[in-house]
Amino acid sequence: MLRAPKLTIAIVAVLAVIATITLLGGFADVPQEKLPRVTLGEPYAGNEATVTVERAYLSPTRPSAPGNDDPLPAGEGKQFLIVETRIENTTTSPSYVYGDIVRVLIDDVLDPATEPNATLDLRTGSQLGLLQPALTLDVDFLWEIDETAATAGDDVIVGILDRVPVANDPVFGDSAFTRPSPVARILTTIEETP
Amino acid sequence: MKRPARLALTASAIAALLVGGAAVVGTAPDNDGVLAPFASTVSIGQPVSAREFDAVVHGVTLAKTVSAEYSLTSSVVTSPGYWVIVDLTMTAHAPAATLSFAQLRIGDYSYSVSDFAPAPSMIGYSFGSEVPVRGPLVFELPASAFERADSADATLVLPARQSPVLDTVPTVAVDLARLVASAADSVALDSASTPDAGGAE
Repeated sequence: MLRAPKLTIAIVAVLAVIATITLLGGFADVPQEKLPRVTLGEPYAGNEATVTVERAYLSPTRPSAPGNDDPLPAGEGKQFLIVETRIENTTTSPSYVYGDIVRVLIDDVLDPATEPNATLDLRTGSQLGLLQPALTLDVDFLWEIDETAATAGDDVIVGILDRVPVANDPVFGDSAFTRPSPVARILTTIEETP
Repeated sequence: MKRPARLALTASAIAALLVGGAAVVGTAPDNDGVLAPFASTVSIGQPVSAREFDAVVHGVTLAKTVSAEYSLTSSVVTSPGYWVIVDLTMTAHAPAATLSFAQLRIGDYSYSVSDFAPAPSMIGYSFGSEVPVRGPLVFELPASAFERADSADATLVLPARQSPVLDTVPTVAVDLARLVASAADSVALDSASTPDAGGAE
């Protein structure tokens, strides 16, 4: 019997592997599913918190406690993009979960990787500390952006992020989580300063 | 000893060892249990001692609104639930002793201490070793917490650190359910924690 050259056998084997992968759909386009949409005022229940995005608006000053007539202004040539939310910690222990729960996308201005400059408890105008379980609070996320970077009426996408518990993590046991990732989006426009 | 009897004895010994081993494994604490802190539970008004401090809770009140005067500003904050104000004295045995890890626990739920009280507060460092300091520890709880049956068996837990492994943890039993009926509309928090001549006795 004639022996096939080794090179021929190798090429046939590689082609067989490629054909198999092709038949199984390995080279097909990955379907890009758009994130589910929620609307302003609609609660989104995540793994650790329920968040309701109320609106997004621009302001020359930081939100402050009721009765404060001297709110902190944005830096020179800057303004604040403020996303108003209502958040409930749905776990059984205090958490900073809200810190990663909202991000915004404005083309060429803000991308979802940009963390807010502050996350404020609207009752005090101060940075929110640990959010207690089952306690629902009004929380403002704010980003300082250039004065000319956005105006009322511009489109903005507000993304809601969530993370998933990881069981039996080698370092953190059952208290570990995946990195937060987008799970829902709100397509809206930036409102005028209230 | 005859062979059958010897075999029976060996089998019995092995079975006894297996049963004994299973009992030891079955009753041994898990990893968390091995490292668990030792709760030292008292009632309101009773002193409790731990490695880093002594403490005594004088009373607990609820309020819908708390107010505080800070060095540059003041603040009045109404809770959608209730503020829980714990009046206590702490006598530190080490300058770095702190109550910043204090928690209120109701069943599986835990609530951390708020930083709302004006400085110097009970969650800052102590005034020094063996100096008694009295002031409020403030917690914010949702209204739903008080509707649970086990809110009558709430506990104030005062660990000296975030993970009090194998350490004594002062724990004070608090009947929060009973306090709702007498909740105040508003409570002004003390401007500072003050040395308490009575100490933790």
